[in-house]
Amino acid sequence: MKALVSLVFVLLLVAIAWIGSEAGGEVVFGVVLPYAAFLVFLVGFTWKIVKWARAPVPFRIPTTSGQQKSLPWIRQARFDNPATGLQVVGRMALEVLLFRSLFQNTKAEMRTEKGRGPRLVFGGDKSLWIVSLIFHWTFLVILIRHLRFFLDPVPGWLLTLGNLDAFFQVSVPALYITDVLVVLALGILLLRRFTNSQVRAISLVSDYFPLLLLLGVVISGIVVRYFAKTDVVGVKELGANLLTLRLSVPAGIGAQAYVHLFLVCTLLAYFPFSKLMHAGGVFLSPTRNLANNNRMVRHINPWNRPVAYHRFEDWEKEFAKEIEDAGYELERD
Amino acid sequence: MAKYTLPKPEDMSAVRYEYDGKDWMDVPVDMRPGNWCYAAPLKHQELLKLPHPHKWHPDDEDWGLPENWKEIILAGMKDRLERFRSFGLFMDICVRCGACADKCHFYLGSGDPKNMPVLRAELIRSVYRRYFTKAGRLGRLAGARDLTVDVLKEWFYYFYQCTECRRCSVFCPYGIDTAEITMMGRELLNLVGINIGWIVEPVSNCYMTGNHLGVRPNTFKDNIEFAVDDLAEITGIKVEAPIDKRGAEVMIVVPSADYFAEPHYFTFLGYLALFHEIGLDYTFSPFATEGGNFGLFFEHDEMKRLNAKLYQDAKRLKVKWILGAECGHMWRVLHQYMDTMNGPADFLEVPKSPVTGTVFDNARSTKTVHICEFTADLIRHGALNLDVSRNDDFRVTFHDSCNPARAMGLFDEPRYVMQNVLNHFHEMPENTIREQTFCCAGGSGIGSDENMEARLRGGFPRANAVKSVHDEFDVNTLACICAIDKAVLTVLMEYWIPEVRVAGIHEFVGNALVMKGEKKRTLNLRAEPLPGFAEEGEEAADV
Amino acid sequence: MSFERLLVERRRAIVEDWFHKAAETYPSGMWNLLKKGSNRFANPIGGTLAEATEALYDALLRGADRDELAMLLDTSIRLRAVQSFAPSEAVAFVFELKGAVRRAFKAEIRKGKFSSDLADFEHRVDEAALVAFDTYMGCRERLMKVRSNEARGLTRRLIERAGLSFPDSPPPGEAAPPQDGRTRGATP
Repeated sequence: MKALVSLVFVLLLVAIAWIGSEAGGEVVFGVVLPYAAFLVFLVGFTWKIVKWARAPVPFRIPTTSGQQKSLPWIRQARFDNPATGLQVVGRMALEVLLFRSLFQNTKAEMRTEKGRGPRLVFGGDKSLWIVSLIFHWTFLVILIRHLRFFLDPVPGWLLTLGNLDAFFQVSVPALYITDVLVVLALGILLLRRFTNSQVRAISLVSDYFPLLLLLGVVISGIVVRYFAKTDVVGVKELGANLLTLRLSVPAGIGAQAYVHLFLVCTLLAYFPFSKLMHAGGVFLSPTRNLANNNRMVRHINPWNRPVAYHRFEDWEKEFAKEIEDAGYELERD
Repeated sequence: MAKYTLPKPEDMSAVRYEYDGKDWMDVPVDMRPGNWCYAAPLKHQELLKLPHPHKWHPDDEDWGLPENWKEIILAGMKDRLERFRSFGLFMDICVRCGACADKCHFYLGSGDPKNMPVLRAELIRSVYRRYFTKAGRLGRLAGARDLTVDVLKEWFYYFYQCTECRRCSVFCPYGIDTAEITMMGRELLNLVGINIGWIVEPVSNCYMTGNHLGVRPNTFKDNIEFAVDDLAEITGIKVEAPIDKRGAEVMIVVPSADYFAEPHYFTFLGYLALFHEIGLDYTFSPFATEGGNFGLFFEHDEMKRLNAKLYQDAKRLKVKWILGAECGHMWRVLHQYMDTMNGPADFLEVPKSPVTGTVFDNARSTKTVHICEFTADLIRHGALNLDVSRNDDFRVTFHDSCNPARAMGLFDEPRYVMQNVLNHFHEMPENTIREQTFCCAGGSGIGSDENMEARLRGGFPRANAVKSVHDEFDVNTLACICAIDKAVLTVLMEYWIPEVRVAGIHEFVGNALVMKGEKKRTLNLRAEPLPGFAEEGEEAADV
Repeated sequence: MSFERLLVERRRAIVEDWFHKAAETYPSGMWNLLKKGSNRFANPIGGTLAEATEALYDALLRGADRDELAMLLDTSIRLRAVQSFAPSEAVAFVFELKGAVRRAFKAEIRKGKFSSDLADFEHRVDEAALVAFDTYMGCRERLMKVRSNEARGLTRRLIERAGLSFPDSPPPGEAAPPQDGRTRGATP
């Protein structure tokens, strides 16, 4: 049901772009919306980060996933339990670039062995890690590849990247490996929301929608490139125009390209208000981005607020009899 | 025709609630006894001046909430969103990937989906979306829902079914820490007078008297003296255990259970033996007779006011540094909160072992050393004379206590100590130890008697891992370095694997320690015969 | 073909059917998660049940003795004993096997075949259910014991030092033997 609602949304977006651009709304879909979406993205993203960053981190609460730094002869797990800023950078890099936490994922299972009753065992489970990793990296490559629509001349490294991506040269135009992988990865991520009962139970519309929207973006892109081919020269011109603030729309760009563009715009505008903000949020996560040097360096809480204490003097009075009984002197300066 | 027919088995086992196909938001909480803790006695709520003190019972329909409870909760949320980056961030960035789902021991033991960390967090996230995001007005479509009394009850049920063990946060790709969310949830509930006796009462006792059970100063002294006598019976040496010794080098902080509860007490005897043998110049504080801090389990401010006593009395006693004993959540507070809340401890000195000269540079700011670090260093320097064979009756596995594991990273120090005082040590399966350790299911203040069923099923993953080493290596002892563990795991083992008992690490140290001038040792610290010393008569009685 | 042979032949269908019925006893917040065949192991409760049903079925076919049945039932029953089930609910899933078998032999039963075989088999199921019930009761009694022992362990020393004692406090290490047949960890 939630998935269906999301699908309807995405299809609606496709229809809007198709009909809108056919009905002479090229300027709206080719110029106005891209600018607006980009602006919303920038402002929204910044606003969100600022909102989070404005709240202080009162306590240093890293999750320690390895041996602490203590005695010199005990080997510290530098990236799972960083003690210095540099080690934190290492931990964050492993997290952001390689999804280290997901890499360590496990799966609980019951198994019966001979002569014993059933028992819980925990095996490694790399499936979510590999699929997520493939999705994020291919998406990044695809994003970078798109720079060629904005840059003229296209820099050499970008051409190399494209050539590498199209290494197999199977079709005309050459099939990008990332195109295949990204569809596969998104497909699996979507599928597991249906088939994995746990994930199914926790999924919201705001989980299905971004997945379907991303699939929409990717598929419409593929359609534009391989099937209902569009005028690449026109697209490049549009790209160049957008970059140089020339507000004109070249002719010859088909509706299918506007659909792709519109879905991208929707994604951009939706991004800051959705769970997709994990992309920015992960950098701020206090359980990951702080060194476990709590006992070495004092962490300051900006609002460290005063509380009422039970004072020693009061305690001494309240328990005078018992203290005398115990024979404590309780000296102080 | 018979008026009554016996129910058919199918009917007896029929679905009790109609869940099929329903969204979790449509499934109201079922407050069955055995799954929650009792409310705090009014006396203690008042003593601590907690908000909206009142009498109530989780079983009642009406929880006696203040009239404007909803405004209070929402204002409390707003306040915390502004004060804790973790809270706001963790509300926003979850992608519901499900990596945390099967990491929670309560989920693994109950199968209740709301025990999945992600759903536990969604309980509060759904309310956050409704009142603190623009999209929240779309309701369900945005994963939002209204804050109602039922939602509040659900919070109570599930936030007191989380032990803040942080296992899920190890696996979360963004480090979302359910402990942090649970802490916020409990703080919010506390704002409208909803809290539990098993937490509030110890906090109140600790605040007034100095320890969880309200052991008074003279009784505290008696307890220490009893321990000295008990140790003398076993070793023939009457050690000194100074209390209130001004100018001592070290102040020792122990969880109060160590000086009266079983099996904690044997560990306590171990400390006393160790300190005597190395000639440590130390003192107990008569004022701060509790290392544990149940404030951590429901209110940051309560944690702070309890914790303050440690530095206050260390200052009065003019000690140089603090030695913290075996206690899990105490160490979460000492490690991650104490310095920030009640520091700087500039009146203390950087800890230095008087025996080996090792400077504990990792504790240079808090000036607080974990006893496992301290002892590991002693052993490393060959400062102890150890007869390992005395522990041969103990076939041991080690339970990494959640807080020293995932809020500190204390893994190899206790292992090093054990490997040097024991002959039989076996690790539990990978993925159930170290940073992936499973909670005892009674931490964070929910180790109460009325909550027993929830504890026993939540402890299933831990028990299950112990069982595998019990079956494979005939392990009969579960070691740990946490006072709550020592109590809770004892019960857990009694239910799941009665052949396994629970011990602290310094109990083994005390057993193995060959003390200068000791009498011929025939008993271990439990006053049980050492290997090879079982008397004929006793053996016969055992069979 | 003999009844026994058919039981082996139709094992898959019967166990599957049984598991599904048994899973329905687990609604407490689990929706239909348990019944999802492909990844039932993702939910350990489902896993316990799946393992228990399968192993128990085979054991019953083998004519396993009570001890073996008890071992196979132990984990699931021990878990169910602390999962807020009523006693009848906790062990009812064993009986569900009868229905599953009858459904698998619908055609034969209509023809009046296997009636004595069926009665025999159902008798064995009943026996397994009784074992399950014994185990369940043992667990509950242990639960009560554990509760009182806990309070004692935590406060015994304090109370004794105050010159008081628990009314029925047995000396340490000599607690009454538990009722579920297991022996308490022998104190050396």
